Amino acid sequence: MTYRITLLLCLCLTLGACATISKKDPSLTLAPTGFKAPVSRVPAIPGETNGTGAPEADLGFLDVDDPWQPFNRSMYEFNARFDRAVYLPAVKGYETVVPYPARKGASNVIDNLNEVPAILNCSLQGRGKPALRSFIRLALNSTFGFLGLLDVASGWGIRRVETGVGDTLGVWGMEQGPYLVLPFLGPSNLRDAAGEAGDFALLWLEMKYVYDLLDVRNRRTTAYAEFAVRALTLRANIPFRYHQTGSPFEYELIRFLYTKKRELDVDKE
Amino acid sequence: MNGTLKTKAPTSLLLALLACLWAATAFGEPFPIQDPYQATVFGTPPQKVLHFKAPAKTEEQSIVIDGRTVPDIFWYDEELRYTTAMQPGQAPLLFIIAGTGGEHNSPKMRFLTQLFHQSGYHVVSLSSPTHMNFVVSASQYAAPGYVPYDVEDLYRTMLWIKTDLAKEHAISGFSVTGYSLGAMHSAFLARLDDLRGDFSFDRVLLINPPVDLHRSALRFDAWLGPKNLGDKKPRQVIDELIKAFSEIYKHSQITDFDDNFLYALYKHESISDMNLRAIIAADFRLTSTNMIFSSDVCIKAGYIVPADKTLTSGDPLLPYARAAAAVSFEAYVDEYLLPYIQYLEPGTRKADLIHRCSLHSIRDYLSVSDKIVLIGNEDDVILGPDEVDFLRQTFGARAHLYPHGGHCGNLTFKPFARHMQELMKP
Repeated sequence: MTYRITLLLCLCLTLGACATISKKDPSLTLAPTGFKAPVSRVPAIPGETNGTGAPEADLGFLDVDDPWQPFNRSMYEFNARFDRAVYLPAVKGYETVVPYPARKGASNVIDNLNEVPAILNCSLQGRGKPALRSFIRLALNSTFGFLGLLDVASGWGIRRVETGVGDTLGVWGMEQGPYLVLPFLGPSNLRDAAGEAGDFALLWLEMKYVYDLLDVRNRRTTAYAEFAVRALTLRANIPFRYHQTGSPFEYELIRFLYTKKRELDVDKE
Repeated sequence: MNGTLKTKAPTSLLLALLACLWAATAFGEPFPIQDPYQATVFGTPPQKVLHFKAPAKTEEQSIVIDGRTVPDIFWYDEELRYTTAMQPGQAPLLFIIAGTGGEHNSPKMRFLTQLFHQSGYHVVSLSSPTHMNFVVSASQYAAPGYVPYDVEDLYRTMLWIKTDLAKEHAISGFSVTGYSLGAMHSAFLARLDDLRGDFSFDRVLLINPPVDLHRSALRFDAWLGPKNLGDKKPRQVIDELIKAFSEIYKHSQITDFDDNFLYALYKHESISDMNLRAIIAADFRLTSTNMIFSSDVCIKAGYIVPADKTLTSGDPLLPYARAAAAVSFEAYVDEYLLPYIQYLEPGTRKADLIHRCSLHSIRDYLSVSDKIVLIGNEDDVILGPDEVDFLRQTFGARAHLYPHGGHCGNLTFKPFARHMQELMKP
């Protein structure tokens, strides 16, 4: 079974590869022309001496506490490369091999299973309405939605609540802490990293219960398959693509947006 | 209108009715946002947008130039990316060029791709030569903003794509279109092709083109200065905008920063024209910041980054962003672009550079080329009244100008979009 999953993943990867036109033209190699700008606007960088004192724009709104920046930036690039070379091709393969209704069903089942931690977190945050919403969704989708395969609740206008342990810690008053880029998972901060660990623990407990309930035999293989489907579904549902903002300052922009969004998520009604 | 009715004279009533009828057929439903700055920033209200029931399948393709020196920190832009949306059988092929800093698959570009695929074209959507992906991967001199070079880069790329697609698809002809700066590029591409004959374009559609790139850019520079803002600083405008965004986000169920979010902002906040102008200009400045830094890193000119410094993926870039964001378009031309062009082509004067980036330089060509049509708005915020007159005079009956819509604000508005399709009927 493990062998078959590996084979499927390899197949996914090859299917995901796309064609590139390759061109040879010596005039287009960006060979140095020797041109130097007559005016330099090099900014002052700590530890470097060639700052020109040229005017700088006030971009203070982009400032985020990021003491581990060199590590974070490298991790961001690692994630971007992983995304491009492995993750996205795998998702593309998954979308080629598995028909849409099956993928949608899998995505719905995962969302439905995630209602349980959502109810717990909403309750811990003292947010009654969202907790109730998640509970109603779980009840409706588990019954009328055939164990979560169909998302009937959304059809009736009951929208999913997206929350996790990170939000709960935030509501309890924990600050975000320094910015942190996690391997594979991407932008985060110290608090949300702890939150991710909490989310994972809750999920583990929940799935152990579900496996017990269904009396699953090949636990390890099932868990691997479940993990793979969860990972593929997660990426398939996020439209973000690394380095397609058209800005060389993407790291700074994403860092700002993420931090701002997380700040607001905690204050959200 | 009331006055006309009160005269009771049947002829004038008839005339008035005819005038209304003419206006209705010429312009259809009027664009709901009359303020040109609001139109430019917020675009078309969601319920008035043309939607595609069965969107065509698109593919992302890429081109890589062997042996090109791509700076390490730009590893992700080694390949030039573009979008294709092909018809199953034989069809004409349409190239779409994005506006300043626009990517081939930006929301506006995705819309135009679907729109013209629906018209029956094979569609190829290209990023603007001012987008960093183009600068890093495919531009010959990597100094965007000089239209003659940008157009050469586009022309060469389009030729490659034509050759590649012709292997597997039946192509019955070629056309080109673009919005904003991409429209200006389209006009110059048409002329270049008339000289070289590789495409023999059947139709060329210019959507909201600038007349004079330099002049339009200087308007933006001014909007970030005291002439527009008085004592206010651009930073304050941005802070206010962030605050408005935050309030809406906190008090709504919206979780994505998409078009609906922008519309919620439009409904919720009344932002002054002064601030809207600053927002449009700040957006342009962000684009030029990206462009200037990318270009300087590629050609190692020592403008923003020391020429002997090799940046690595761990280096903080915010200081460079601050330095590049302080560069006005005027300064970019004077301190960087013009000296570079002069280095490559000695004797070039600033007036030459400005002239070559303006439709004035190809006026005679534009006024007699019947295949070129123009669609845009009289209240386009990047144009002065004399520039609107220039477009009218140059294109005559081929200029289709709407009273409202700002700069590309009505691009996705149903009547406007349908009009574009009609003008480009294959």
